[in-house]
Amino acid sequence: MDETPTPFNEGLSPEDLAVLRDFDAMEFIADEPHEETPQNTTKRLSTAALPNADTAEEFSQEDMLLLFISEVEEDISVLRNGIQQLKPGEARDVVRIHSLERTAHKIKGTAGAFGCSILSTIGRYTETLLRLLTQGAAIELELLVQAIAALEGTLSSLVITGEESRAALEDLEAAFKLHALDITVDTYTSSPPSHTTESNAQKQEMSRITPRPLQERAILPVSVRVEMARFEQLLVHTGEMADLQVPLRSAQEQVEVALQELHAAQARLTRLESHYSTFPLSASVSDSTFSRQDEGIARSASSMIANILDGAEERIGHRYVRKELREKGVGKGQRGNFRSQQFSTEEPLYWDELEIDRYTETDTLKNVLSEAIADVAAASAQLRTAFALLNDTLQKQMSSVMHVRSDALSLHLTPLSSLLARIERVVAMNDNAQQGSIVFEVRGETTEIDQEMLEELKNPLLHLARTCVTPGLQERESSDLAREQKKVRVWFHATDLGNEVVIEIGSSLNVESGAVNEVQDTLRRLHGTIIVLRNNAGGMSFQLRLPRSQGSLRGLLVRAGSQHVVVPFAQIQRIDYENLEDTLSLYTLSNLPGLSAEPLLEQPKKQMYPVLVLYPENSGMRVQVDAVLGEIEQVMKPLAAYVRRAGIVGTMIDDGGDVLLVVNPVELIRHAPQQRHALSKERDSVAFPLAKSQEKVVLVADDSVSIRGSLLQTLTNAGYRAVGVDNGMEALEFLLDHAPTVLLLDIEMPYLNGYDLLSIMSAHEHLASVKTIMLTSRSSEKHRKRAMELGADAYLTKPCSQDVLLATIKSLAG
Amino acid sequence: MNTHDYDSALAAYLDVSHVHELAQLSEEAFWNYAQKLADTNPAIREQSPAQMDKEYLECTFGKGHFLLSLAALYEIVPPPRRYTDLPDKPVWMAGLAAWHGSAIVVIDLTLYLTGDTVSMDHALSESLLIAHAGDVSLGLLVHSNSNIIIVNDMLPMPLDDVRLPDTTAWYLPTRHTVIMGKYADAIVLDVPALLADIVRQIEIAASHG
Repeated sequence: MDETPTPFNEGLSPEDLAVLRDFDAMEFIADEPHEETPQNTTKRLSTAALPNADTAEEFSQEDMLLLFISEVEEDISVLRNGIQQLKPGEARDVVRIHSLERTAHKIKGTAGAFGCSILSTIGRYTETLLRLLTQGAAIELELLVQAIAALEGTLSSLVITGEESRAALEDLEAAFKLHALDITVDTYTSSPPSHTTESNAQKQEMSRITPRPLQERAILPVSVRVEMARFEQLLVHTGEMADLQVPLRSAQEQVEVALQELHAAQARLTRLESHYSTFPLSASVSDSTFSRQDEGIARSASSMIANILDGAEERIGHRYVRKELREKGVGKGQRGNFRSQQFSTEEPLYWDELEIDRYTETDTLKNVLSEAIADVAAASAQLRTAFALLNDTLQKQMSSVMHVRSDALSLHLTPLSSLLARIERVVAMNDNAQQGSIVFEVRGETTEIDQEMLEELKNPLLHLARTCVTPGLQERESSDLAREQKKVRVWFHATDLGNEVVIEIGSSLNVESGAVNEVQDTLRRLHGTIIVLRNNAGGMSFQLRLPRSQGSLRGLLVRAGSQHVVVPFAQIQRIDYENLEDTLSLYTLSNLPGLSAEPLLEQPKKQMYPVLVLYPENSGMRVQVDAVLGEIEQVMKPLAAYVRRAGIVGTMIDDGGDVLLVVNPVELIRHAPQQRHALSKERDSVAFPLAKSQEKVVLVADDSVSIRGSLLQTLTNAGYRAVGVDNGMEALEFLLDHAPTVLLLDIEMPYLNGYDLLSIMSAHEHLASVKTIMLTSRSSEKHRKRAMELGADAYLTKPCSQDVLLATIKSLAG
Repeated sequence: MNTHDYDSALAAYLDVSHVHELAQLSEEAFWNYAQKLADTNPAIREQSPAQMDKEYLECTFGKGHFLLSLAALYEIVPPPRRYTDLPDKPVWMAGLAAWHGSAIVVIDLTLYLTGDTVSMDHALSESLLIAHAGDVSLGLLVHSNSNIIIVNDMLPMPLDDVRLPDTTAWYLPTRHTVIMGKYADAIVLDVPALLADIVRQIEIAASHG
């Protein structure tokens, strides 16, 4: 290799250059085995080509492999983070890209040294792409992202199967072809570059790589990995949905036919009605005829006959009188009284249909009307049946659509177990693990999470896992004997609460500080939170709460006050119906629209209420609701940031088009004003029995006994109530119970450092009023900037004069 | 036709009364009117950005009227039959409603501007205007008669009004920050500023309970 400084290795230390020389020397070794390997086979992981035999002898082969995997993982992580920060269209930060290029170069070299030719090749592609980027070539960032994904995929296959998969490399090469990048020629089976200078090699590489103009390139879609079983389930449900088209169309046709028949029957009836209405007195007749059917057709019929006869008389001038009435002498000069007499007669006139001479036009009309009414009734019944069938089919289709939607959403999900192998490796690689002193427990690894979210979380979780197996300063200071006798427990617990996933990574060790600060940014991006707790095992736990992004959620639809809300099933252990005599841990959701779960202070009426008993993880709280309406499974969507409220985790749209709030009862209870008030009152009375209401409290968090003592003395003399703690964890515990006026905070502290604490404080609303003054020996601008970004109100460096300190406190505390 | 100062021939009215008015025109007057519309329609149809920016929705209610740029509106839809309540919300926030499968915040724009529930004339028709600016989409509930007009020469707010808001105006003095200018006797709302103010106030309501 030409050792002439190039832009690539400018500014590197002699040690860095030596490492690079080693890697370049390894390229020969890296490529050589690959030439011997058939294209379609993979190579087993081996340590045959370890660069430094002396070093290798000090470690077992297994150790070296683990180290190699861990190192490549970290390098990939560096590349991924670096590429994520490159924004399309922005001016390239050449220095940063050079740094990434070095990382890719390192992967190429180390992978080659371990005989991992595919990883090495992908590393080389990545390096080349980055180099082209610095030289101003129009390289799509998607290609780089895909190259990183290829590195990860290949490494993953290596870890799981012990062999490198060629699939990711082939996909990447296909992407190059799609982008008209002739990057693959020679490089995969390249001869050792040791005979050419770096610059010549670059020129050759550039001549091979001739990117097409941007507009000619196809855009590569962002891809996710899809489990075959999930995809097949989606296909099955899609098929079922498609199959419903025929019954649905048939049901629609039946409704249409029934509607047509009903319309025809109604039209016929309308025609008859109009015909009937031309009869005199039709209104009164119709009233008496059809509304009083029980009184007999005979009476109405007789009036109708009379009407017809009257009508006929008017039309043709001939007067008809019925036989019976004629016999009674009616009709002779009594036309005006005919109707009244006819109505008033109590003697019923029965119509015999067989008596042809009595079969009048009215009777015909009556029969036709009856038939028409019967037709309408039959058509209505037919329509009802058709509608019922249509509704049934639509319900099936809706259910099928929900399945398809749920399946489609689940394609994005992946179980947390997919990351467990890496976490286990981190734990196993720890020194303690090698002595067999660490017990690693896993629970809830089948909990599913969005792939994108897991990708983002990977590094924070690995970091937390590393933290949990690394004893903190205080742990290291404890006697060796005690440490040796201590069996270290490390755990990874995941719980799906429906609307959010809770991951706890804990250790029986008191661990190093700084972990929270490291993962905080990622969690903020994901709208998640982290809390740190002392656990029962005597160590510390990190609890991450991550909202699930979009996804289908099953929950219980309940009525609380005037609103319908959804409580995720994942939080409900069971539903009891109680008299509510025992109000311990009992809350009610019924005081909506305030929508906060308030403690049940008054004894309610003796009535059975549904009570949701929450899982013990949620302190076994019980929440009374007004009614349980049923279960619901719909897509849950998060609320816009400015309308997010504590305890409301998302919304669903029900079948009626109304918005339903999805609530987390535990969070509601936590944020209920009465509850908060009661808790703080109780805590204040315990912690500050002598504190006067106007007294200003200053919490001093500093691990130096002398500095802490001096500060407490100064503050007390200045009239403040001063409380001291010697580590971040104690400070957090104090803060969770009290909100001091001012917090004097050091950066370097055991368990949780100052940055950790600031990060955690920002997630607690009740600490928003606490004024934080950083008091630290770190004077550089980057520390100041970081602290201010995390919410510090002032930054003082040690040594700090009493006057400056007190003036700062006074200005902030008022 | 209309008593407004601006050219009524260029206005496309949404209310039924306009149809009746058209029916009463003489043939000659009708064809003249149609000719004018025909002359202007191609310009409207082509919807160049500059022309779109000139189209405003005029909302008239008992106390006054205001204009909103059509370019800032996604859709005008009937109001939902019910709203989902949210805790700690400003009084003028009606609640959440479903729009295109998502929950959006709906605010009563008339109430927001006037601060006065009495002034609302419930006999006026209600419409829900879906407005957007940046990544915020909101439903603006208006109780008013609405017309689409083209505004050619909007006047900016008088400096005096900017410095010292007009306390005699029908809208709240604190709302002067969301007013972009005036057109005839109507105020022209600055939709991005309006949405930003609404979001800010909803956030404040959340933090102050």
